[in-house]
Amino acid sequence: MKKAASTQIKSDPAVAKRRHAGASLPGKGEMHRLISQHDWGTSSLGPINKWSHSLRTAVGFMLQSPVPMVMLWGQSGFMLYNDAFSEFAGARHPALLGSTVLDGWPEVADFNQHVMEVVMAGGSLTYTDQPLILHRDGEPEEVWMDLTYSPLPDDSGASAGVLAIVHETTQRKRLEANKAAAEAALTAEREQLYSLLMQAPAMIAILKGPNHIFELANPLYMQLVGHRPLLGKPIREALPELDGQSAYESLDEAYMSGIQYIAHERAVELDRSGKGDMQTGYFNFVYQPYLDTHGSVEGIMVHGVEVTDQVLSRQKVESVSREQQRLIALTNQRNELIKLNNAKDEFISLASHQLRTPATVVKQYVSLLLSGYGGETTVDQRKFLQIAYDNNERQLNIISDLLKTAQLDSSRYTLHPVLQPITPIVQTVINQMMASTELKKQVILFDDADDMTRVSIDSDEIALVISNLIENASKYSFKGQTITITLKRLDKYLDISVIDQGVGLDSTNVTRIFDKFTRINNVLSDTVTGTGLGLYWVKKIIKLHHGTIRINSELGKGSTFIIRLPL
Amino acid sequence: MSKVLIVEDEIMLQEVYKMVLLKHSCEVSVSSNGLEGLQTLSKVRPDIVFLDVFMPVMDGKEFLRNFSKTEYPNTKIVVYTNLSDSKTETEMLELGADKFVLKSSMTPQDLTDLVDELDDKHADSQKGAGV
Repeated sequence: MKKAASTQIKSDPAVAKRRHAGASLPGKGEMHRLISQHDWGTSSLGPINKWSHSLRTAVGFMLQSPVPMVMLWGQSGFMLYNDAFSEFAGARHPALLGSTVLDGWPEVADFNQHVMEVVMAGGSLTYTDQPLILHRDGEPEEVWMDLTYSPLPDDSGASAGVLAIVHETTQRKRLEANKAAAEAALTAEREQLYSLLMQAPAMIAILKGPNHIFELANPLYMQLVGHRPLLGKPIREALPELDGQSAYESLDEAYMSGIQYIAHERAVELDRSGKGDMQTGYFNFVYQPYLDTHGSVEGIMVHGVEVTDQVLSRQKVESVSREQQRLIALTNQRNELIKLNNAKDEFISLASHQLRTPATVVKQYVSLLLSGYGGETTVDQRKFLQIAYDNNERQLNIISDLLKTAQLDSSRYTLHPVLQPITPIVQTVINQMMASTELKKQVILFDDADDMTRVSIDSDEIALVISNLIENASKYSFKGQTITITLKRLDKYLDISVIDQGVGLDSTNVTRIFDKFTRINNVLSDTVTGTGLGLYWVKKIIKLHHGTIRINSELGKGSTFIIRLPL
Repeated sequence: MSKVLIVEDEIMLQEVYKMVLLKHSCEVSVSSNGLEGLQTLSKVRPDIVFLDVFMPVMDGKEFLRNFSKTEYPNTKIVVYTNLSDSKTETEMLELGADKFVLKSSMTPQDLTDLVDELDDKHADSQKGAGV
């Protein structure tokens, strides 16, 4: 079409030149030239030199306008347009010039038909951002335009054409559309992110600003804090129980520094029920600062996983393993101690045996001499032999006491208690002691020999105890004094008392009388032999019977030992 | 007259006991350990055995394990020792000993008294034998 037009123009240059010279149009430019050269004689406008004054003025005004304008002249709407419109028309220019509006823009013929009808009838039309599909470059293209149509009167004032002002807004509309699409995409992305955070299998919260205000808390996080209201609240207000657990401080630091804070298996006390019922849980969590568009820290994303079960299980395993190791160590220690104890017992037993043997030999031979077996002896010889014999006996007693003490000190010493009356045991001991007490002209009184109270006792051990106490009473009494033994039955106990009238003890000695190796200095000390172990193991034996022993004593007035045995 | 066997490894004690018991009109045999004791036992068939515990070659416990009560129903065994722990005492009595005596507590007089006491108990059988 472009080619055809130029051919048409060139076909009759002489005519065109003539017409132009005859009635020139005001203005300049490309469209001025093309309109001037166009053969308008075949159209309803008629040749330019015959154009009415109104038409010439309108064309002149249009050609000078920088705004795209097109005139649709006559009932058919022959098109004349300016330079700005020729750019808008694209490849349709220049064939568009002089064609009717319906032929020139067939793809929008309906729209233009309506325009022509309305405006030729004297009306005006205005469209803002009117979209139309135009085939400007051969392809359909959506074009947006602000359109203003107004009537052009002829010299008589009647409507002779339409002036259209065309302002294309396609570029702006496209930008707007892009922006809207971008915003929609952003919104969709945000929604997707939110949805991800809400569904994440971890506890997630977003805290905004320096006061760490809850912007988001996903369901797992909400569950953790007992569904207390969090959103819009600063953390110090929303979760007050975290005070003193360094959470606030760590958040402050992450916010200030922009550096993430990572906690591993941190114990946190939380009010999970929201009812003030504090529980300890263990968590792995990260405080991850996030930035705003200017690169400053905007807030902190809290991401956490509860590991309480794992930590507790591991602690349990560790504790069980520690306990096992401790038990193994204890068992080893115990076995070691048992071994040592056995070795000690064996040593003591053997040592006693070996110490006794030479003393036994001495005892036998000195006895023989004393009994006249080796022939007649003088009084002095017998006196010296008796001293040797007595001291050999003393040595044997010491060995026995030491052995007894060692046996009682060993925790494995066991009694063989039998429920039995105590009086026969006491009576037997008294009978055995009579020989030695009679030598000192001492009397043993036992008035309760018919008491048949039965007590759970190891008879050998109790006999040793009674014997020791009577021997003690005898040792610390003077010649001719009396030793009294009484039994007193109480509700749950039996008291056995051994009472003497001897030297007695002062209060300081009373307190240490049952200690190991205690020997008391008194008027009889020089003549009394002893190891200081007797009362120590007496007390031990009574204790093994779940009983007690105590002493009442006054210096110079004698002592009373009271054994209390449970019934 | 009582037949007494002393099973004792300590020579000075063997001698003093032998001396005292012979004076007390006993028939006395002496062995230095459990093994010798068992051999002498079958030869002399004693009324009383004074048996030490702690001895070389064969100790008193082993002697008792090899001693048959049914073979020697009239023989009394007195464990005569300086071991005084109750564990040993219990063990020896369980193995068939009749008496457990702490050697160091006994004077020569106590020894002869003990022989008389035990001898009295089976005096009937001796009388029955026409001694």
